[in-house]
Amino acid sequence: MDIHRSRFVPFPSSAINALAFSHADPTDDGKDPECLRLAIGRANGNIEIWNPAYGAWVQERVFCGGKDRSVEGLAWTQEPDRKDDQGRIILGRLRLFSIGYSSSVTEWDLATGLPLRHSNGNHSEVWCFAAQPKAKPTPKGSVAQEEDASQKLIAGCADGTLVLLSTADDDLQFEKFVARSTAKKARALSVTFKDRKIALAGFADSMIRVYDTRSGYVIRNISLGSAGPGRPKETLVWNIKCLPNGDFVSGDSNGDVRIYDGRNYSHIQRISGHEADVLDLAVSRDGTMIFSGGMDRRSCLYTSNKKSASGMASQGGKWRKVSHQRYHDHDVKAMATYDGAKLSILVSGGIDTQPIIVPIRQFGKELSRGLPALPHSPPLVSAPEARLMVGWWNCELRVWRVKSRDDGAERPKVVARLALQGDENISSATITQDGGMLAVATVREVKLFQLVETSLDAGSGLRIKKLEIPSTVGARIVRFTPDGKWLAIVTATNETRMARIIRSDGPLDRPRVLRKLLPLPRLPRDHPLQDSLNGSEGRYGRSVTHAEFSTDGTIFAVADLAGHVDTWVTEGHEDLTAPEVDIGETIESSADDDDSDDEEVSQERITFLGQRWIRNPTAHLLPCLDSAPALLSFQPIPEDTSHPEPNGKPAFHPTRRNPHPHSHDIPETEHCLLIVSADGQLHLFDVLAGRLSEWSRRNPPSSYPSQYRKLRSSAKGCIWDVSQQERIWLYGEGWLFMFDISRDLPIPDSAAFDLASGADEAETRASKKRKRDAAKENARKGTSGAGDVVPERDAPVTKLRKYGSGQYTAQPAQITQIALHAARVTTETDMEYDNDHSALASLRRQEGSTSHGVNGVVNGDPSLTSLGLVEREGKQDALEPQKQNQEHWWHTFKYRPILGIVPMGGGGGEPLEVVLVERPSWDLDLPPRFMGAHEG
Amino acid sequence: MADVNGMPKLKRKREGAEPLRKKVKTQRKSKTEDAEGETSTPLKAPVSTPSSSNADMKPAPPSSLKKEPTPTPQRSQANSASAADSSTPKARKDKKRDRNQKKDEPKASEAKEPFVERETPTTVVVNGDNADKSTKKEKKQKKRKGKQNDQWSLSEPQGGWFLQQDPVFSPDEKHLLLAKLKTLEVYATETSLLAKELPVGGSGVILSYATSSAQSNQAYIADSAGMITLWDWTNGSKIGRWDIGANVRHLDVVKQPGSDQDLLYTHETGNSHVINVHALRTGAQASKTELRRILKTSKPISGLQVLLGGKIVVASSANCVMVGKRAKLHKTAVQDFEYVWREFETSGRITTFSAYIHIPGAEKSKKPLQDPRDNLDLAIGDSEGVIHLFEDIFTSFAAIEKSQKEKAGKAIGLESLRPKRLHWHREAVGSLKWSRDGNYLISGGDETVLTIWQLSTGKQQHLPHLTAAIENVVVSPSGASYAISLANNSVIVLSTSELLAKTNIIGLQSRRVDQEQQPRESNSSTYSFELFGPVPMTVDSKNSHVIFATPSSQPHRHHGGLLPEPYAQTYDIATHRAVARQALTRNNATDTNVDPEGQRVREPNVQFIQTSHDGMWLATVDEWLPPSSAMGHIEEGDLKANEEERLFRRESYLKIWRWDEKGAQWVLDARIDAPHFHKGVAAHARVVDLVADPSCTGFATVGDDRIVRVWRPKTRTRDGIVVRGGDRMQGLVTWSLDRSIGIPSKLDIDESDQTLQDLSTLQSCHLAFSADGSALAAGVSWASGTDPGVIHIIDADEGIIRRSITEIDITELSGLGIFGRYLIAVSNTIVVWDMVIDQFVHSMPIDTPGVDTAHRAQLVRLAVNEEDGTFAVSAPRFEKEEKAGSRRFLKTSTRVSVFDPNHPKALWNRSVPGIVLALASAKGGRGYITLDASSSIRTISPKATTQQLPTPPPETMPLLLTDSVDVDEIDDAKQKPYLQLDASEELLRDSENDKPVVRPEQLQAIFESGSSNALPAVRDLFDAIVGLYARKPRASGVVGAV
Repeated sequence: MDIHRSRFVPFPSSAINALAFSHADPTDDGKDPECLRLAIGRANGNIEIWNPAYGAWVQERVFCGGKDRSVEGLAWTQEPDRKDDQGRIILGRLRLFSIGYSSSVTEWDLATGLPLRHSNGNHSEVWCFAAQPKAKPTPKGSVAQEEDASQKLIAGCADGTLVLLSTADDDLQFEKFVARSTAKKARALSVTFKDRKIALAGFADSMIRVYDTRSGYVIRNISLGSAGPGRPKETLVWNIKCLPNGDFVSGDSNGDVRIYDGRNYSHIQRISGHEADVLDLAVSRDGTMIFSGGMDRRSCLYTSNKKSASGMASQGGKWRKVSHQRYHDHDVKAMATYDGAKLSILVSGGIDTQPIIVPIRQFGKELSRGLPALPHSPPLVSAPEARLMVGWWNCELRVWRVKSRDDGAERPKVVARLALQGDENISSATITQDGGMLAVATVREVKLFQLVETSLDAGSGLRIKKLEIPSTVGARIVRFTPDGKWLAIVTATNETRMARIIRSDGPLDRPRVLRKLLPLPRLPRDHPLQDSLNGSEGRYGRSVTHAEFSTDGTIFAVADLAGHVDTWVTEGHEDLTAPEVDIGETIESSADDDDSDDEEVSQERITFLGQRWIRNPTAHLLPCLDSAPALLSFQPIPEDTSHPEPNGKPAFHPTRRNPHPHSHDIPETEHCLLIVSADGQLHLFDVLAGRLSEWSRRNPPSSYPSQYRKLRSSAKGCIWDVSQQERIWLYGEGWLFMFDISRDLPIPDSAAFDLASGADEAETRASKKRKRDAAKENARKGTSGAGDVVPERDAPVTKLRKYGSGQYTAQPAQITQIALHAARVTTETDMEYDNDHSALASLRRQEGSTSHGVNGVVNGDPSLTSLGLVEREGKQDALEPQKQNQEHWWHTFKYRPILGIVPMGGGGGEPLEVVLVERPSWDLDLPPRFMGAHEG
Repeated sequence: MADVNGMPKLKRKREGAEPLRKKVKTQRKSKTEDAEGETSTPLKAPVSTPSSSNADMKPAPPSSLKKEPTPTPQRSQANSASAADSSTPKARKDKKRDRNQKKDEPKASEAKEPFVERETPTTVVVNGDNADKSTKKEKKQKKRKGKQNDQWSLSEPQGGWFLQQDPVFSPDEKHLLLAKLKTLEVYATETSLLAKELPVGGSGVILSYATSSAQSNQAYIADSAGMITLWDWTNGSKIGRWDIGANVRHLDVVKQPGSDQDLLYTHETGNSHVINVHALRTGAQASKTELRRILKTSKPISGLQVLLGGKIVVASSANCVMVGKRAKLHKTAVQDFEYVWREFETSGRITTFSAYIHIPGAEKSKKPLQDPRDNLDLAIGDSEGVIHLFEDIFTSFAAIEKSQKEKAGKAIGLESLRPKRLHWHREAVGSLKWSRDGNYLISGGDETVLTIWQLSTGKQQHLPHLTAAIENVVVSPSGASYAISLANNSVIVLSTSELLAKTNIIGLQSRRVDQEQQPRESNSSTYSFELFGPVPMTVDSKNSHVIFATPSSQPHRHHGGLLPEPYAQTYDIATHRAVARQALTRNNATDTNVDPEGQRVREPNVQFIQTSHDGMWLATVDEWLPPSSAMGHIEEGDLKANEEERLFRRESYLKIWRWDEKGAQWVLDARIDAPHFHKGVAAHARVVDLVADPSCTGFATVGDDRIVRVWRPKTRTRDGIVVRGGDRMQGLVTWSLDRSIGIPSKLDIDESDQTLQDLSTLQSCHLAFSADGSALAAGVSWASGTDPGVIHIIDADEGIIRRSITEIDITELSGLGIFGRYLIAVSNTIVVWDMVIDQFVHSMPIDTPGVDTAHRAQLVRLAVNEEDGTFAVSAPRFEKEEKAGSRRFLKTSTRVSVFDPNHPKALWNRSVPGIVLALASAKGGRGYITLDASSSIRTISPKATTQQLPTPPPETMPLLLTDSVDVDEIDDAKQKPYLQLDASEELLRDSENDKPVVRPEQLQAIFESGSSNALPAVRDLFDAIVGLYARKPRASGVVGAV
């Protein structure tokens, strides 16, 4: 593979401004809620929804923002739980609110990712806001207080006013002013609820004010005073947070964290842990830990050994700073904690764009972990035949021409720039293989452009011509078929539409889009699961996140968050003589599925030039995935088999009985669809057969190389290398993995596995050690959601033992030694599960070898093997025999962070050529950062 | 439990058979006994082997065995007797007393001799005899050597390093107890003056010491002979002495619960590490001496702290902390002491720790001390510079043990044992202490910064620029001051409120070579003896102070190579006190001392120090080479070329300093960059030797550019008028090159073909001035062994080589001297050449076992004393220990010989323990001064003359103003000048605030203006003192502490 390692894509950084977890507490039965989500608000207006998924951390959705829209604050509320007809408790719906540089609070529709409503109110810009804590279920039953049970929002404004907003009745309404602007019009910088009645607000005039939200009465003014000579007169109270026992904490511009008594609002303690402003605070649920993050890049931890004993004011000085650490390269702007049953994590983010996860309860025993800072779906596409690459960010898009290596190592040149009118961020873009057409989608509209070479000599710029498109609806995903005849549009409301584009061969002719869009209905899925995210109002899980055409353009697949995959196929053959748009009314058709009658809503049947899209007859056979798909890709199929010609058969002509004739042929070649789920599992489906491919069946996750299984970030994309071998190159943010799918991965318990593990895993050969390896893996699963367990050499305390004064002579074995750092007990079930799988897999392999002969060779193209393998065999003589086994897979962590990899150059026997775009954090254009006194 | 109890008992019985445990009762001696002891001095004292000072870091049980040839039956007898019944028969008691006397008297006599009038008529000079005593005894034992030895005497060592143990405050904080190897020194915190010395006798050296908690005037001293001695440190008398037969590394004393007597917690080393509780009782206390072993471990214990009267004991080893809590608190008998130990391992290497007990609700003070819930806070400093702070560690232990019991596969709830991390120190935390109230932690380390952590606010306070690494920090009993011992052999006491220094005790700071750095038997062939290279030292002729170069900081745990020596310390031998310390080159006391790669920046190294004949000028040569790691950017793969390039970047300066009488310091007058240089490559050349003109002001240098340069001052004139500047009466002076004499490589080769290659072959070169300054000898030996070298006699006035002596073989020249008509060259042999008749007189061989000739040149030293017509040569000896291969280190000693050039035999020979790093003749006096690798100064002085160095014996201070002192306070003959000073301090304190600052040295100067036996009249003394205190405060009376 020929890699252009490049950093020329100026993908801009976008600081994390706000972080919020959807739930504060675990559920009543002590488990972490299934629909726990983390919302990350960025300076470019994007909101990312992450699913912690017990440590897997999947970026599920990105709600696109727009120009000059920044997310400055985020808050979740949950509607009160209801009981349905059968008396089951339906968990309340989650709602997400955000503030930006405006006077309104925005509610987001989680299902569509669009703003749902804005609050109104005659007040100045909102600087901070907070949600009221959830009402505690009263023993009497909360029916009477239904209205009261909703969580109100309180917003602090630039002129110092505090506004109470009601979220009752599924609405967002101004309720009242809690506080009018002060005389000095000091900004309200931070606000929080102490309980459901009392709100605390920190202002820019070094004051904390305590309000009774019901009456608007100021209970207490707390002044922080100035920092002393040489410092600004006013102290900015950047953040204020409440501890569970009612005490509260403030972080201010002096770098101090102050702790106050919750009963009499008196100042208890002041800890200076930062060299510069404390920008955000977070507290653990049991109230024994406070985290603070500041402008000096530090994240500090403070603990108190007083467990939940409220008002230990007399104890003064019980809080102690434990440590600080620089997880971030720049200001830490936001922190959020979730301290639940298993997950117990702090997430912090800042200008360096990378969210960092720090364990709370396991602090010091587990490492911190950085989540990918770059978007999960790479904002890059390429037109390999034209050697063009498209990258986009915010509302800008650029096209580069990448010269091949032979033309000299010239830097890729920008050949076209595009800045969309309107201030919506680009959500998706696609380009045809030949680079002739470009489609760009925002949440408001889809735009289609023709790219025309200005002159014939390569290297000159491209001219962009806008094309008409019938739809005005915005889209989340747009995809071209490689030949550019079809454009698939997945709208924000998760509807899929297909547009037919007529392209003529003449370079000057403009392609045109046929007026009619073909809706592609998805299979209805029964949803027994009704939780806070997937309520009756909107189904978050049905959000389509991935869509892909097969390389011959005959199959289209989409996948949603819940793991459902829908596929459609073309029916019939392209017939230029047929009418361009042929709309039929009939529904029943012999080719349709049996299950079409119970759900079919399509009232029209649209055929374009003799072709139309129908649901893949075996679509219902594709199972729902365990976890959200991270990647969807079709295996390219060799071109000669990809085009079944009509073999000179005459086109269908309308007759009376059949006014809208068309062929019912559907593609027959085996189309392999690769879906990598968020937990890293590779599913290779034979789409038309509706089953897992042989390779996938023979290679369960337990047979994956341990290096792959230890990966933390999920796959972002893949590159197929099928011209000579059958290889997939999977990549995540920090890794690049190759799998040879023409051969089976060695099964762990076979000897081949050990050989394949290679020299760097030589120690795993001993079976005992491998067990430990497995234990390590399981330990990862058992962690609190942050990084790996801290290696023993870094833990401050490792072992503990106890003995009496007479026992020193006793045998050491008799003294129980508590290894404080033992790996967590492995869960037996996991092991057995894995063993089952591998047993099954080996069984399947045996079957396979008897029935199909040697798989690897049969699957591969014989001519290719002769070409590729012969060459390899020449080398093999010199190498050790296990070298052959090593080529089952290969990996590198050399490239990071990877923004994306796109193929480049046209196939035809040449080795695969790709452009790998990195976006290292040091390359980001960050503002100057705070330098401490001791830093150079 | 009975079984458990039984085990140590059994052990004890078995040990009883060995001469390990013994109780010795000591009583105060009457004066008559003293006299008795005095008369019998020559008979005993088989004990003191003077060569032990470098061997003393070793456990030395064999020597203790040897000391008393038949101790076993007696001891078991004594043991059983004391165990059986206390009503011992008189006879036995007497016998015991006899033994006690015998044992104690050597030390006692040693201590007291100087103060008693000697009755022996032959010895005129008290100190000389005394100083010589131990050596002499040894000599007598071994071989009855010639009587001529008596003409010269070697003094007891002065200086030496303080033990690396926390300084101990007396309970009233008026005194600070510091130990050196052989003495426990009591300093007054008010005056920083030595108040009392408690010498340990015998072969042992002090290992640890602690004050008694029952009696504030008593202190326990444990020595390497396995003895623990109880002293009354206020009057210097011994109260008790016990042989516990083990080396006590750490000692902590608490009161026994329920009684008023001391319990000693000792960490004893042997095959394993043991913590014992001793109840050491003297006869007067009418109870038994008891022992209880509470911990035995194989891990080397590095620290011990006893809290709450022994209720909690904390000990640490390299990566392990052991916390012991006494169970069954109602049982107060020593034998019932039961400890429950909890031990936890840390991943980092522990360098220091400190524990603190928070008594919950202490303000309520309702609960008794036995409240089982005392919060033990533990702070641990590790080698990474992190302080881990464990709060309320017993609760954490309990939680973990509980979760361990219930475990069932659950992850151990560890969060309670999560330490707070205080990370400011860049390097290992040197020392760490809790403040008395538990609100602060005080720490210090190699950064030379004292850091005070306020725990509740997270704020730190720093006291930077303490000039040397902090080795120990101690909080005084009342919490009013911190005592900090620094790695430059000084201790300062700071007030906690303003962090101002109240006390500053400075020891001798010259280069120390630790045992670990000395050659071993295994590596003696590859050992580079650079650590034993010469320390530049000179004697200031105006006041006989010794000036020598010192490193800025010598941490005890630093065992690296040679440290650069950028400072000069001035030491007054007469008063045993460091007078001043001054930076001679750039140093890193206030600058950043770490380069971008994180390595320590090395200071320039002072290579030569010389004073002019009148003591008004000081010349120093310092040199700096870039570290090889900094030459990476020119790395070309050729190591040799790289090294050559590095040497070209040498920086070498000759600095001339003028004595500033007012400021009492040396002031830089001239700096000559590159006094020698290689013209062809424009590089500084190495300066190989520096000598001062003994007749007039002027210095001569020689460099490896083979040029001898003579530097002389010129009074500056402008139009013929002498330029006067500043406050100086003399004219301004310009130092310039006076003469420059090239040294031909060989006589028969003309100078034209001198290539650079040729230049680099200069192996060593030495200069010597004749006493009248007219002749300058330059001895050159070449690297090629075939060439025997040459000595040129240069006419200093004309700058012409008059004579080149090739007849002497000086292949490895290590010293050159002119004395009268004789030229003395020391190479493989000592050669005396008569310059007048130009003929060889005689030669004497030098014996340096353990050193090959390649290294010998830098280890053999020569000093010529014009005054008494002698020269002295010191030759190191690295010898294998005679007995047992168990000792890994070579035994080091130096043979110092004094010669008369007229005689082919040495006048006097003496073996001095340790390696002599510098040898100088006492200017203006007779005799020599040696400085050795343990930073001790000794003087060698001729005896047969009344003229002598102003060197009283170390133990004595001249008797002063006896009439004004309350005699009752002074024990026997132990009258010491500090009492005088105390009195004058009293006088001082009564005066008003803006009193003139009078430094103790000035007082000393008054009191010691004459020789010790001829004090001025009391009236004169009084006038002088009044003159001191009545004058106006001086503006710049600061001793140059940089």
